[in-house]
Amino acid sequence: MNRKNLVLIFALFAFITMHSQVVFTGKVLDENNDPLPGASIVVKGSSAGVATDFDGNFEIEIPSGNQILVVSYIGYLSSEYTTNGKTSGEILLQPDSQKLDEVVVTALGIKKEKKRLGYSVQEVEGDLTKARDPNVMNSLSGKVSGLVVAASAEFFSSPNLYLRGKKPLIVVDGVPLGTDTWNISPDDIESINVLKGANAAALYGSAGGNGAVQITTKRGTKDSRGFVIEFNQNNMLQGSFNAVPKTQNSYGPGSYGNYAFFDGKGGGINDADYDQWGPKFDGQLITQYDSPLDENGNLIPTRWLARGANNFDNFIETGFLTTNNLTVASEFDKGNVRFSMSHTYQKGINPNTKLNVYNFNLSSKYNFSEKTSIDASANFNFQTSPNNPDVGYGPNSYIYNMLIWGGADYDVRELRDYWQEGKEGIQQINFEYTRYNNPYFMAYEWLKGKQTNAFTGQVTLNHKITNSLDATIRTNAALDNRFNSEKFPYSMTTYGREKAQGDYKEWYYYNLKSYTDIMLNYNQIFGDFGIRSTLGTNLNIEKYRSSYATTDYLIVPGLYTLSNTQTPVQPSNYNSHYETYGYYASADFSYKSFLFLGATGRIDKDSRLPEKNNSFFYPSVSLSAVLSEVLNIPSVDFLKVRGSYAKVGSSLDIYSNLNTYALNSPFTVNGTTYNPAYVNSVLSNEDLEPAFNSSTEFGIETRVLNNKLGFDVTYYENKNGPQIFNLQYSEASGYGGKKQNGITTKTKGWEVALSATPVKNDNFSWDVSLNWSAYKEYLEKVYGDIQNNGRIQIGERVDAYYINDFMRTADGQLIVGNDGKPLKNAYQTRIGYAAPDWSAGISNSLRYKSVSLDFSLDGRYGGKIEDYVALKMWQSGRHVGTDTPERANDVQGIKSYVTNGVVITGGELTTDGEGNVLSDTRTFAPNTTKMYYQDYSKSYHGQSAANIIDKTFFKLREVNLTFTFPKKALEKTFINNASISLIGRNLIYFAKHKDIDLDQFNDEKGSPLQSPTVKSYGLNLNLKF
Amino acid sequence: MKTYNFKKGLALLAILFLVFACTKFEDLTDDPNKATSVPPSMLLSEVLSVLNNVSNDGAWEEPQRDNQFWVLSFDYYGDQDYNWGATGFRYSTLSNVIAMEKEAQGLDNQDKYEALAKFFKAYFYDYMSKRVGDIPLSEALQASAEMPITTPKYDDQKSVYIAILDLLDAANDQITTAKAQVGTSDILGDFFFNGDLDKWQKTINAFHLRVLMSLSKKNAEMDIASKINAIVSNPSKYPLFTEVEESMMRTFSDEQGNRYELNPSNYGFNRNRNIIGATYLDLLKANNDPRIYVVADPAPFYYDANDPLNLNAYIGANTGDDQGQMQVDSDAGKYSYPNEARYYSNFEGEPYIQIGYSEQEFIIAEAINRGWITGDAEAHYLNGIQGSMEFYGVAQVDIDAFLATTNVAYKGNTADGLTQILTQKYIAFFNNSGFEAYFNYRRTGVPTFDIGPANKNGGKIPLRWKYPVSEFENNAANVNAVLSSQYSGSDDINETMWIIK
Repeated sequence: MNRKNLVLIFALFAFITMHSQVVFTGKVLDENNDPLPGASIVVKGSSAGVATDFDGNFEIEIPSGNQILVVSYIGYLSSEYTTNGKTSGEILLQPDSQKLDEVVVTALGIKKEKKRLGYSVQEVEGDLTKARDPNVMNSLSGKVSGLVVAASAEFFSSPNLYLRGKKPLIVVDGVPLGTDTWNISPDDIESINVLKGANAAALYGSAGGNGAVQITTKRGTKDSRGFVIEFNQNNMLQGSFNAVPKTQNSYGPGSYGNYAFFDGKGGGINDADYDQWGPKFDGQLITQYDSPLDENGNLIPTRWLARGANNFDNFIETGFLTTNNLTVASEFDKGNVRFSMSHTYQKGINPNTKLNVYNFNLSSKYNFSEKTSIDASANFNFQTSPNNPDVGYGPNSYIYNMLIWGGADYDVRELRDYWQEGKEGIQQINFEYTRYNNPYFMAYEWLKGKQTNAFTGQVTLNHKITNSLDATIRTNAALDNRFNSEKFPYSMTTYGREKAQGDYKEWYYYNLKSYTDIMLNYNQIFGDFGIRSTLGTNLNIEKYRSSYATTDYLIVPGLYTLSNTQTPVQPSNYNSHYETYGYYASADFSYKSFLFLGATGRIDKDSRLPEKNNSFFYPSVSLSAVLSEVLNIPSVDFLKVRGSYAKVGSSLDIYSNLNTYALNSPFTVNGTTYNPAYVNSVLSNEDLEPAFNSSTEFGIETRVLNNKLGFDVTYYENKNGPQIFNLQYSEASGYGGKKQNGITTKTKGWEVALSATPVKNDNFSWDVSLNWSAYKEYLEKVYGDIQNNGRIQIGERVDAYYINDFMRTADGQLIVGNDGKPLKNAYQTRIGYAAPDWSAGISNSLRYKSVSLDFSLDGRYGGKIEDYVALKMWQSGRHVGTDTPERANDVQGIKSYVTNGVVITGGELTTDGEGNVLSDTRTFAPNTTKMYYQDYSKSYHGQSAANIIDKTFFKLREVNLTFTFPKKALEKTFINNASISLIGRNLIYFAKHKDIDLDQFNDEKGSPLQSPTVKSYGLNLNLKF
Repeated sequence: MKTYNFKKGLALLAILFLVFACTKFEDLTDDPNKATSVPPSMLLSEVLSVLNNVSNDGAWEEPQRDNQFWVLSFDYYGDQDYNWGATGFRYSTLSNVIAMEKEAQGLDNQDKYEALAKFFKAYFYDYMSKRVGDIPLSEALQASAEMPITTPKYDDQKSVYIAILDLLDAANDQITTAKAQVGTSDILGDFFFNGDLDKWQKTINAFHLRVLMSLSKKNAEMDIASKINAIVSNPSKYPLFTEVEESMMRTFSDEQGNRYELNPSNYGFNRNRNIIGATYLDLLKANNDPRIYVVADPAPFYYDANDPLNLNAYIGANTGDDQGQMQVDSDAGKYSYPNEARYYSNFEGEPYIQIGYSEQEFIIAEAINRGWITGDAEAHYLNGIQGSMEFYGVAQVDIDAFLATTNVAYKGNTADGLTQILTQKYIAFFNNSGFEAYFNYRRTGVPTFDIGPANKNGGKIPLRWKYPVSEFENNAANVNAVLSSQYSGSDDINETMWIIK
C-alpha cells in the first residue's frame, strides 16, 4: 500500500468520526474478567466503530444521549450495551458456546473467524496430553479429514504426515521453521489446526503449497486468579504386540533337513549363513553351538529341540513411558509470563534402549504501553538416546536375526552373557559365526547413539499506529545441533564388514534457520463492510552443515576413537546455505456477516533458482457465503458455502541444477588410493522456472437441529505442476536427462467431517465426530508430446503398482518350468495401486458428571503393498505357513510337492520389446514334476508376486477415561483442580495380515522390516494449584 | 517515551534484518560441496573401475557361472537359469570418457589421455553392441551438444564395428605419438599400468585382435584376415603382449575396495555353495591337466587320502542341474569346491585378467589355423597354454609333461586343431575376462555348454540380451525400429545378431 492510499483511508476515517459529540470510555472483558483486546465497538445505527486496545480499553465518540453500542469479538456472543447517558463503563462478553464464530489461526498466525474463510481449515479436537504418544504428531491420527499420520513402528522415530497425499508444512506460532516433532512438548501446545491446501497456506510461500499443520503454543494463563501452577504426570506401559511376524517352530536351521554345527563358519553342514529349512525338532542327536566337547575336542551331539520357540517374546521387554510437566503461568496488567518444564523418559521394547527428552519453554508478553507490546519466547530442548538399533533388513536387525534367519534351536536367554570366556571384548558367543549376531550382544555392544540440542527463540514487536492500523515485526531463529555415533564391536558382522574387527563412526549436523516477517495490518469496518488486510515482507535463511567420519576396522578392540583405525579413511562433509525474500499482501473483505471475499498475493525471490527466474508471483482468492444469515431454512442453524483458488510457486532442491562432478567411493590398489569422479548424469537448465501448484476447492459447512449435527464437505482438485523434474533422455545421449519444467499431476479428492451431539443434558453428554477422506492422483502432462513418465502413462494414476508377475495362461493358471518352479514374466504388469482408497477416523467423547470417556478409531482402506517380511520368511523357511506335510517329506529326502500349474509342451510366445504379445503358439499340459517343498516355497511364496497384500487396517487409537475431582472435594486443599485418567493407545489392531503394522505406510509399495508394534496403557494425573 | 522504545526496537530489528539480508544472492548459487572441474586422472579412475567391473563381472560372479566355470547350489544367492533380461548400456561411462578428454585439453599429457579415450570408446561400443546388436553411435552422446540429440537413432552393427576398428587404429597411432613426446607428465589414476604407455599400447592391440576375431563370421564382408595380418605382421607398429605378466590385469590385496571376492571373511557364505562347473572341470580332467589341482579341491566324499591326486575325486556340478538336489549332494560332500589354499586363505586370491596374453595367442593361432594369416599356429597355441599355466604357477616340468600328452599336442591346422585352440582358450578364460568365454562359445560352439532343467530358456543358451528397459521408455521409436529391422519386432534373447550370422 502506498502512502497516498493510507492518507486517503485516514481522511475517510476522520470524516466518519468528525460529527460526534461525546467521548465514551469503556473496557471490554471476557468471562474471566480478563480484558479482550481487539474487540470491535460500533454505535448501533451508525457506521462509526473502534476496536479495543491490548488492555481491552476503548474510546469512542458518540452522539450524546442514549446510544446502543454493539460490541463483538470473534469467538464471543455479540453484546448490545446501552449507554444511558453515561460516558464510561465495562462491557462483559460471553463466549459463544456454539462455536459458530469459531476462531482459527490462519497463515502467518493471523486469527480469523472460521466463517470468513473460503477454504478448508480443521481444528484438532481433544486432549493431546493424556493418551500420549511419545511423539505428539501421532496424536493427530484420524482427527483431521485429509491428514494421514503414518506412525513409525520404530523407537524415537517421527511419523510421516500426508495432507491430501503430500507432505505438509509444519508451523509453530505462525512461523514455518518446522520441528523435528520431538522438540516440542504437548504440554506447551494450546491448539493445533490444519490448513488443508495451497489455498489456506499460500501466504507461507513455496513451502505452504501442500497445506500446513499449525501448532499454537500456550501463552500466560486463562485462570481467573491470574496465575496457575500446573503439574501433569503421565505413565504408560508398552507391551503385548499389535503386529509381529509369526514363526514355525517345528524345524531348525539348515537346508533340505540337513544341519550339523562344527564351527559356525562353514565347517559343518549348513552351519553358516544358513536358512531355516533344517531338521525337524524331534529330539534327535545333532552337534550344536553349545554342544560339549569330548576328550579329543570333538563336539558331542545333543538333543535337537525347539528350545527357543519363544525367543522373540523373551527378548522383547515391556516398554515404559513417563512424562512430567510443570507449568507456572501468570497474567498481569502489563502482560503475561509462562514457564514450562517437561521431561519425557521412554524405555523402548528392545533391550537397552531409552530416550530422555528435556524441554524448557519460557514465553512472555509485555505491554510497553497501550499501543506497543513485545512478545518473546524461547525453547531449549535436549534429546538423548544412547542406543537406537537399526531394524532395517540386514544382520543389524533383531527381526532379521531372530524371526527370519534365526531359528528356535537356541534359547536366547542363554546368550545373555555374550562374551566367550577368555576372549572378553573380542569374541561374542553365538549360534553361528558368519552372518548372524547374538541379539543381546547387539543390544549391549553395538550402540548407535543420538543426541540433539535444539534451541528456538522468537520475538514479536507490535505497535498500534492507529486503532485500525498496526505494525508487527517478528523474528525467529531455530538452531539444531545433532551428534550421532556408532560403536561396532569386534566379532560383530554386517554387510561389507565381514572381517568383523570393529568400527567407530561419528556424524555431526548443524542446522540454523531464521525467519523474519515485517507486517502492516489494517482492519476497519465501514458500516456493513469490513476490511482486514496485511502487507508484509519476509526473509528466510537456512544454513546446514554436516560431517561424517569412520574407521576402517579398529586396531585396539573396544577403543572407539576415529584415530584407532587400521587403514586411514577420508572423512566427508556437506554445507548448504540458501535464502528467500518474500513480499506479500492479503485482504479480506466482508459484507455484513454474510459474504466474505479474501485475496492474497506473494512474490518470492529464492537463491536456489537460476538467477534469471528466481523471482515469482502467485495469488489466491477465496469466497465464503454464510447462507444461513440470509435464508431461513427450517432446522438449519448454520449454512456456509465456500470456494477458493490458489497458486503457489516453489523452488528446487538446493544445488540440484548445476553441472558438477560427483565423487565415487575411493579405493586402494597396491597402496595407492584412487578417487574416481564422474559427471552428473542430469544436465542443468539455466532457463528453469519455479515449480507451481494450483488448487481449487469447494466446500459446504452446515449445522442443523440446534447445532446437534454438523458437517463439512470439501471437494478439491490440486494441479501439481508444472513441477521441476528430470526429463529423461535416452541413455545413449550420454546423459540421463535434464532439469526441466514439466510433469503435471492432478489430485482429486473429497473430505468429509461430521460432528454430532446425540445426547446433551446437565449430567450426560455424548459428542461424536467422524472424518473421512479420499483422493486419487493422475498423471496429466509430462513434457512436449511425451506420453509417459517412466512406466506411468498420461491419464494413469501415479501410484500404479507394476511388478514382474508369475507367467500365467490366458485362463490364469500358473506356468511352471521343467523343474516345477513357477516362471516369471520378464515384463512388468500392473497389479493395482499403492495409495489407499480412503482413510477415516471416528472419535467419541462421553461425559457423565465428573467422568468422561474419550475413544477414537481410525484407519485406511485399500491400496497395495509388498509384505517384505513375509516374503523373506517364506524364503528362509521360518514362515508359520511353511510347516506343511510336504515339508516333512523334504527332511526324509523325498520330493513330494507338485506345483499346481501347467508346463509348456510346445510352441512359442513372441512379444515385442514392451512385452505385448505378438504371437502365442504355446501348448500346455498339467505339471507333474515333484519337487522339494523348500524349492516351491522359495520360488513361489518367496517371490514378490505372491506377497502383494491389501493395506487396509484400523486401530483403536485412543481410550481415555478421566475422573475430575469435584471442586467441593478440593475446597480445603491447596489443590485447585485435579483429574486422573486411565489411558490407552493403539489398543486393538484390525488387519488381515498382522505380521506387519500397516500404519506407517501411505503410498509406499514396499515394506521395510519393522519392530513389532505394541499397545500402550497407563495413567495420567493432572493437578492445578 | 513509549514510542521511543518502539522505535528503538524497530530500528534494532531492522538492522538485524539488514544484516541477515546483506548476503549476495549470486554467492549462494554455487555448490560448495562439488567441483566443476577435476583432473582427468579422477575420470580415468572412474572409467577404469567401470571397465574392470570386478564386483559384477569378475571372478566367482554371475558371468562366470554363465560361462559355466562354476555353479551355484544355493538358490537364495542366484539361479542357474539362462532366462536373461536386459543388459545395461555404457553411455554414461562414455560421457566420463569425453569429460576426461575435455579436462585433459591443453595439458601436456593430452595425447596420452586422448589415446586412451579412443580405446575406451571402442571398448564400450563393443561391450554394448556384442550384447544387443545395433546400438546408437553416430547420434550418440550429444545431449549437451549445441543442437542436442536426446533420442539418438541406432546404427546397424556393421557400421558400429567399422567405427570401433577405426578407433582402435587411431588409438594405436596416437599412443605412438604420445610415447614420442618427451618430458610430458605422467598419467595418474591408472591402477592397471601406472600410466605405462607401452603396456597400454599392447593392451589396445590385443583388444583389437579380440574384436577382429569376434567378427570371424564376417571375414569376407569385413576383410578380417588382412586386418589381423596387418597387426600380427607388423610388431613395431602394433606391439603385442609377449608374456602373461604383461596382460591387462587387476591384482587384489587386503585393502579397502580391493579384496578378492573369495577370502577368509566369507568362507562361511559360500564354501559349500560355490561348486566348480562340470563343463570346465571335465575338460581339465580329460587331459590330466595340472591346473585342476591349483583351482579345485577334491570332493570330500570321494577323496582318498592315500591317493590324493586321483581325478575321480574331482567332481564338477552341471550348470543345468536342479539346484535343490545339488545342495543336498553338496551337503554330502560330493562336489569339488574352489581350492581353499588359493582362494580362501588370503585376500589376494589371483589377479583378474581383463585382456590377456593367452587370449591374444589363441586368437593368432586361430587366424593361422583358419588360413587367414601365415605363421606357426602350434607355437601360438602352446604360448597360450604356457601363459595360462604360468598364471596358475604350474611348475615347468608339469607344463612340459602336459603339453606332450597326445590329446594336447596340436593336431594341425584342421578342425580338430581349431577345437583344441578354442578349448584351451576357454580353459584360460577361467574366472577371467567377463563374458569372453561365453562370446567365444556363441561364435564357435566350443566347448559344449551344459543345458538342463535349470535352463529356463526353452533348453537354449541365449544369443543376446534384451535392450535396456529405459530405451523403451525414453527412446521407444528408435529401439522399436531396430527390433523390427533385426529381429522381426521381438526383443527375444534367442535371436541372432549380425556378427554371428
